[in-house]
Amino acid sequence: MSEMFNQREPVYLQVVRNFKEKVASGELQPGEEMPSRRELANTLGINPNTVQRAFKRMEEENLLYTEGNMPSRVTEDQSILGQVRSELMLDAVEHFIAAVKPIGVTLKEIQDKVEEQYLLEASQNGGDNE
Amino acid sequence: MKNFVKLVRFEFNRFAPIYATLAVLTALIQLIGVFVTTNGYLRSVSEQKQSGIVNDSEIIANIGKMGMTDFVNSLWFLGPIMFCGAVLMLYSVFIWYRDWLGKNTFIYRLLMLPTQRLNILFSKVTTIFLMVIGLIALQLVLLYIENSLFQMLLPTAYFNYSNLNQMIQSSYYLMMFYPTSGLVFISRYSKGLLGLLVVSTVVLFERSYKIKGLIIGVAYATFVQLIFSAVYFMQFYNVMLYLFASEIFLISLVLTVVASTLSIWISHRLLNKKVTV
Amino acid sequence: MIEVRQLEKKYKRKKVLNGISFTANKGEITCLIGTNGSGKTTILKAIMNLTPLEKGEIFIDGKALDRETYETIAFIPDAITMMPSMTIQGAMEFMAEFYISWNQERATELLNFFKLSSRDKISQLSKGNTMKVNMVLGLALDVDYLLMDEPFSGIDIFSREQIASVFTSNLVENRGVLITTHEISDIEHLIDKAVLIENGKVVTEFNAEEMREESGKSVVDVMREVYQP
Repeated sequence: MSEMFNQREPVYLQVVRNFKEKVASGELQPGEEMPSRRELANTLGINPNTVQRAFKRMEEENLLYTEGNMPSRVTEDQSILGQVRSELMLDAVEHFIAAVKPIGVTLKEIQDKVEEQYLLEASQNGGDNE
Repeated sequence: MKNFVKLVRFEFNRFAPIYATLAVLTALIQLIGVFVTTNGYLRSVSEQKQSGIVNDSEIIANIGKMGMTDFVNSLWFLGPIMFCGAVLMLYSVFIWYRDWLGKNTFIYRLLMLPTQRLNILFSKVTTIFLMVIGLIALQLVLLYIENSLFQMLLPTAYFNYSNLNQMIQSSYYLMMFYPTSGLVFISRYSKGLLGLLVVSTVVLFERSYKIKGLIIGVAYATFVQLIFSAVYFMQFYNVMLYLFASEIFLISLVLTVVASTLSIWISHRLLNKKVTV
Repeated sequence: MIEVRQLEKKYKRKKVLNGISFTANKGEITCLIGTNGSGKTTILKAIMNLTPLEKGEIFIDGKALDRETYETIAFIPDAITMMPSMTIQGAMEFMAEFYISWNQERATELLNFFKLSSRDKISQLSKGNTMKVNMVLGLALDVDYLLMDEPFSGIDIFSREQIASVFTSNLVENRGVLITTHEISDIEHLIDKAVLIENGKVVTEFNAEEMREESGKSVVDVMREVYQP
């Protein structure tokens, strides 16, 4: 399992990003119960203290909430969930722009290409699903 | 103390199969020896008869009676004893090395037990000592059995009955193991125990400093041996000191205690500070 | 906390330890990294008082080691420390007899996890299974600290994975773990702290996550810098 992690980036940040992606995609539902830190460490094959750190970060960012001794749950706060989505999107777009910039294309060209490709892929995926 | 007893039991069990083999072998060889010796003797008796001597007393005058006092000096009897002695002597060294040199170095486990490390020494020495005592006790029983066996196999006229005392008195080796006086018993067995302690100290020297340690260890053992030799000679050439036998005995007892304490102290230091796995 | 201060040891005139100092915290997995023969094993042995030192001090929770400490700290060497003639059951009984901290329930749990049969004789086990039994004998002690010498070397990939999963389980929870290895890449995500050793000295000592966060370097990156300048 540990192969899914990058060795040079703090593992706890990778766990946080992985969590955000799951929340944005709906794989983790708002209010869903989180596995215990120990379980998560075991399934991910990483140090339990690292998971602990990731949980701490996620609680600081209000992505998780914990009531008393209950297991942590995914936040139900819509504004935070919205934030996660836009943050992930922004992150991806930034990467994308950084990648296309050296090619020297105009915004219009990018918009058209993005639209074309997005629709193409959507139709292909739709076809596969049938 | 509890851990010491546990360790002794453990050490005993480890060697129990070989020990049991030794005991059975000793009994077997000695008993076979009784049959063979009896047969040989009866053959001589019939040879005598064939040569024309029919009178029992005449035959006995020629070849003597047969019984334990003759048997205890035969190889059938002494062979197994010497063999057991040799095995136990070797094992008093091997009982240590098997823990270091085995494929799975058990000494790690022993040294990491939550108990005084001296208990390891005490348990090994006690085990060997108990095994020696065990064999000596077995021999005592065997003496009785063998005596009865001779009585069964020989015609009454040719059987030389001997009581335990006579049996022991007729062999230098038996006299060594079964001293008649309590004081000599204490002196002899305490020296045996000291011997085992010194052997262990030599091993621990070697395990701590390798070749250099072996030299130191052997020097130490020689030193202890020399002191006791001095006392021994004093007994015979009691020239200048005019000591009573009881005083010499006391000196040797005190020396045994001192040397044992010294060995234990050295072993303690080595086990706790110097020994390496 | 295990605290090791200025350890020095010579072996046939060669200084194997030349002023080694580091700490290993409770609740963390600390990894001693170094090439073969760099003195890693000697350090573990010294902590357990299995080999003498020329100089240096070792403290377990602020105290020097004595015989009671063996109920607090367990060492799992790279070879099994039980007699080959024993069965796994026999080995466990031996442990139960001498250690107050022996936890049979946990031992049984571990045997099941590793799919070992307590009736098996130690001499008849494969290398991987022997190492697992060795792990069981150490892990089933309710101790605060565990020292493991090269738990991943020389065994098959599946045994490695099984043993690695022990590190992320409740079996080492809240304990301090000190392991040695010369091959870190497999277990990089398991460790909290790395202590790099060369020529009998600590070259560098760091928290793996902090290193990633502050310098963007993996433990292997740091090793490359240290061992192949």
